[in-house]
Formats: sequence, C-alpha cells, structure tokens
Amino acid sequence: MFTANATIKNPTGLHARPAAQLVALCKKFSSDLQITDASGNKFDPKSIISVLSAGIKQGSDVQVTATGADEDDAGGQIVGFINGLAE
Amino acid sequence: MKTLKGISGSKGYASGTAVVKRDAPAVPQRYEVTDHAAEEERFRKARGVCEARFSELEERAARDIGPDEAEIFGAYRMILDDDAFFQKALSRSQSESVNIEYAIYEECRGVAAMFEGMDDPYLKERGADIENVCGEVIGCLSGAGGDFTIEANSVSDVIIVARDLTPAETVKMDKSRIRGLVTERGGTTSHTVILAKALGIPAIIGVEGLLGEVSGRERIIVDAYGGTVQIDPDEATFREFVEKSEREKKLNREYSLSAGKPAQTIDGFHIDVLVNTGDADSIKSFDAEKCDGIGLLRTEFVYMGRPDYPDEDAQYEVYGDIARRASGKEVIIRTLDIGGDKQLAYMDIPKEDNPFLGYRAIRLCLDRPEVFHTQLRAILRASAHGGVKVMFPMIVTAEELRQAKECVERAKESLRGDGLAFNENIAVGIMVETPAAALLSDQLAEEADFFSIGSNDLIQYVTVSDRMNERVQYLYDSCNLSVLRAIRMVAASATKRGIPWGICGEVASDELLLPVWVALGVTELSVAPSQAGKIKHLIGRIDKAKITAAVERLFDMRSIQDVKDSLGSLQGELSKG
Repeated sequence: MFTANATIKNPTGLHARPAAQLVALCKKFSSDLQITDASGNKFDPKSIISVLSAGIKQGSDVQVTATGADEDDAGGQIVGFINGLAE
Repeated sequence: MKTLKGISGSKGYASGTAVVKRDAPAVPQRYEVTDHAAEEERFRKARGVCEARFSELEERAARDIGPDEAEIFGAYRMILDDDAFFQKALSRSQSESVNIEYAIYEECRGVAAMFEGMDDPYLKERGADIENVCGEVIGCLSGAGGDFTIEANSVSDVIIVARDLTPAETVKMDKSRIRGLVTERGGTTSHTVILAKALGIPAIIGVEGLLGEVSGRERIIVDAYGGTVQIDPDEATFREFVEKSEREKKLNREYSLSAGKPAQTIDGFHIDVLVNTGDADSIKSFDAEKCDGIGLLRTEFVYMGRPDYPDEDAQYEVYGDIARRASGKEVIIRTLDIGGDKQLAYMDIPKEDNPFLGYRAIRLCLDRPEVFHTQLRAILRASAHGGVKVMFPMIVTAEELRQAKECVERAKESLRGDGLAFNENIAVGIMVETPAAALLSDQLAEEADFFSIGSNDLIQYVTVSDRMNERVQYLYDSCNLSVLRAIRMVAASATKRGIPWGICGEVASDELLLPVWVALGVTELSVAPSQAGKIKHLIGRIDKAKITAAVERLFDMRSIQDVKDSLGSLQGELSKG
C-alpha cells in the first residue's frame, strides 16, 4: 500500500478543471485509490462526482492512498499532480 | 428505405434531416427486474449511446459555437464515465430488483440534492450537470432523452420527429429551419398541426411506430398529401420527390397571387377570407394585404408567460397595434378563452375532473368581472384604430350573452368617464362552438351581431370525442352528419336574421367541405394565414348555383363515408372546371 500526504495549493481548490484532470489521471491506474481530507472524509479520485462533492479547498492537506499492482506509480503521480497544481 | 403511413395534418411536401424529440418522463417508470445481467447489459449499451452523443455534440459545439460550450459536453462525458456513481445505481438495481433507470433516478436525486445544498456556486451548478447526464441515460434507456430544440437549431433543413409537440417546444424552435413535422400522436387539430399550418409547412401525424424507426439524422421525405413518411429514401425516389415538390411550389405561387384579391364564386357571391392568429410569431408576420382581416384573434397569449394578469395598457398595446396594422379591415378579438386544456398558474383555477365541461372561457370571465372589465376596456380602446369586433367564447345560454354585453356597456361607460376613444358601435358576436349555442342559434341571432363557428370545439362537443385521443378520431370527424347538421342549423338562423356568420375552426380551410360552406351561404371563412390564398383561389372555382342541390343531398346521407364519397366526387367535378 502506498500512502503519502499532499497539499492543495491552487486558489479554487479541487474544482472544475483540476478535478477533471485528477480524475483523468487516476483512471489510468488499476489500483484502488483513495483520498482522505483533514477531517477524515474519504473520497474516490476516479469518480468526478465524488471528487467534486468533497469540495476540497485551497490549503487543504490530504492523504493519498493506493492499493494494487501499480500502487507506487499511481500514488507518486497523484501526489505529484496535487502538489504541482498551479498557484 | 422505409415507408410509414400517417394522417396528413397540414398538406405539402418536404424533405430534410430528421431531428428526433424523445420524451423523458420526470420520474421514470419503476418495475421489477430479476435478470440483473441483462439489466446491466442494457445499461452498458445506453451508456455507449450517450457517450457517442456527447462526443458528437462536443465536436459540433467546438466547430460551430466555441470551446466553452464544447467543454460542457466534455464535463458531461466525465460524469457519464463515473463508474463509482453508476456502480451504486447498478447495485441498487440488483439489491432492490428494480429497473436500472429507476435506480439511476434515485441515486441521481440524492447526489443532486447534496450538490444543491453546497455553498459554493460552482458546485451548486454541478448538481444540474449530473441531473442532465442522468436524464440522458434514463432517456436513452426508456427510448427518450435530449433537448431536441438545441439540435434542431443546428441543422439547416429540419424535419421534426416526435411523439407529440407541446406549445412550449414549438416556441423554442428556430422555425426558419423547419421544413416539416412528423408525429406519432395527435389529432388533426393538435398543436403540431396548428403550428404546421401557421408556418405553411407539411405535417403528418398519427404515424405509428415512428420513433422506433427514426433515430435521428436520417434523410426524410414527407408527403403530407398522401400521408407518407419515407426514411432514408434511395436516390431515384428522392429525385422524383424533388420534382414533385417543385410543381407544388408553382401552384402555391398561384395561390399567393389569389391572397391579395377578393374571393368570389363564379356566380358572383363574395366571401371574406380572413386569418386566425394569436401568438407573437403569427401576429408579427400578419399581412393585411394577403387576407381580408383577422377572423379570430385569440388573446390567451397576452396572458401567458407572465407572473400576473396583464394590465389594460399592456393589452391595449397588442390589440391596438394589430387593429392599426389591419388598416381598416375586420379584426375579431375573442375574449379570454382560458380553462379547459389551457391553464395559467396565477389564475388559480381549481383542478377539475372534467375541465372541458367546467370552469372556462366566458364562464370564468363572468365570474371574475374585474379581469373581464380590464380586457373589454383594452379591446374597446383598440376599436378606435380600426375594424375591431369583440367575440365571446363558449356561449351556452342567451343569459350569458346578455350578461357579457352588459359588461361591454359598463366598460364603454367607464371609458366615456375617462374620456378615452372607442367605437360606440362595436359589433359584439359569439363563438358558436357548443351544441347548446347551435340549438339556440335562432334566439342568439337576435342578440348577437355575428356568429363565428368554432368547429374544433363544436365537433368535439357534438360528437363527444376528444380531438387529442387518436382512438376516437374516427368519430371526431367534420363529415359526421350531426356536425354538418348543427352547422346548417346555425347558418339558417344567421341567414334568417341577416347577420354575418363565419367559420374559424380547422374545417374552414378543408378543401373537401368548402362547397358545403359556400352552399350554406357562409359570409366569412377564417383560416391559417398560409391557407388564405388557396381558399380564395378555390372559392373562385365554385359555382354556388350548380353545387347547392348536391350539397343539400348530403344532409340526408346515412354514413360519414357516404358524405365523404359525395364530397370527393363533387371536388373532382370542381377541379375539372
């Protein structure tokens, strides 16, 4: 299992295009993926509805979890994506 | 190539690209499902269809509109691709043994409510996206879905294919691109037909199995003379059709020449041919040069699409404008005919089991004198600008007519008090559209200045058959002898009293029945604007003296078919000249 923390830096949070891009990225992996926000709410980053409903705002710290064949690759790329979201 | 048969609602030829309106009910039907694998497969297929549809719309929007619009469909595709969401629906479908569209509907409702409860305006709107996507999938599963009016506005020659059309939809469509209408349902006086006639485009209704055969984007040939619809015709058929419709166009040019001239029979009887109107579009396109005036101005549209009753000035503006534009020609304004199938939220009309036999039209106006008074004042003020006449709908007793006329007098009195101009001698007439009015027509003729037969309702009430119910269409027939006799009775009463009488329903432009109206001595026919020239042209080919005996014989026939056969042969003789 892969676990790592990341911080949402862009002003709109996991909204609109960043949310869509995250989902598109996650769908490439076969592993089960999960993102947990600071209050412990879990959401499925392969589901756009789940990502949007989480309403993650700028400055939130989240935990990324990946379990499966490509867990390390998946986890690494997702953390990289989230941390790299434009200001 | 596939050929389907229907009933001609508005005659003509047309060809174009099919745009399909698929209805989706607000709440999908719920039924039990035991074969879950089959249900899952059904879902998979529907999802594929929606995916293709969104992709196409995304491409088209990017090409024709812009990247922002295209992005909406990109977002839709992503929602459609949300396995986690749809898996929940599939699980619900399995655990509750319920059909997948109902399961999706339930899941969607929950999610949409959650989004709507969010503070963030961006996220709030995403609930609507999810609902739209689910609506498409549900529509696809139940053989419906999609806002066809958007698609209709992106095709150049559109043939609208639908189960039926509502007035709201007909408003939304860009009518300049529509070449023809084809529907599964509807009688010959449905909204589809009324729209088609107003636009002068062909319509075929009652085409069984239509939506099963047309999926959209096919080339379609509409022959609304024979009532046939051809889907994906071969090249030869198509070419032959184009030639035929060219010949037809030539004939129509002749009709349009007749429109501006007075209509007179061969033996010199003059008949005014007026037009029916009553919506913003047809009022805008009203041309006093191409008819003898307005035989029926429906006023309901003035009351629609607003939060409260229109005030006197708002109404006066509409009526006065049309009166001026008619440049002295007759304009018959019918007072509010609301109720029945036409409802307005702010009027707060209690729900009735039988609205067609209930609180509507003149009954409602007499019961709400302030509403009636406002309209009558507006109509009277318009009468200062031209040949305005006022007409009451749904009269069933002479008392009603007297009461309504008293209201007119009160409105006149108040206008005098305010020093506002109007025609003191405005003609006050009635619609004869109930069996009661026909039976009392001798007495009503003494108190009304004119009669206008509203054949659509008259046929419905005389034959006790709903014009929207295709199962009783065989009874809803203008050649039903009871209907013809009722009209003859009204004609005789009016003629005896020497008041003008006209027909303003669909039958006024029925080619087959035209000789009957002429023989009965009709003074006015009020038809859809597109029909005026043709009717004038046809009147010019009738010799009243020669047809009267043949028409008299109709009233003693014993079946609808006999009447039709006789009228058919009469028409044959007339067209030979």
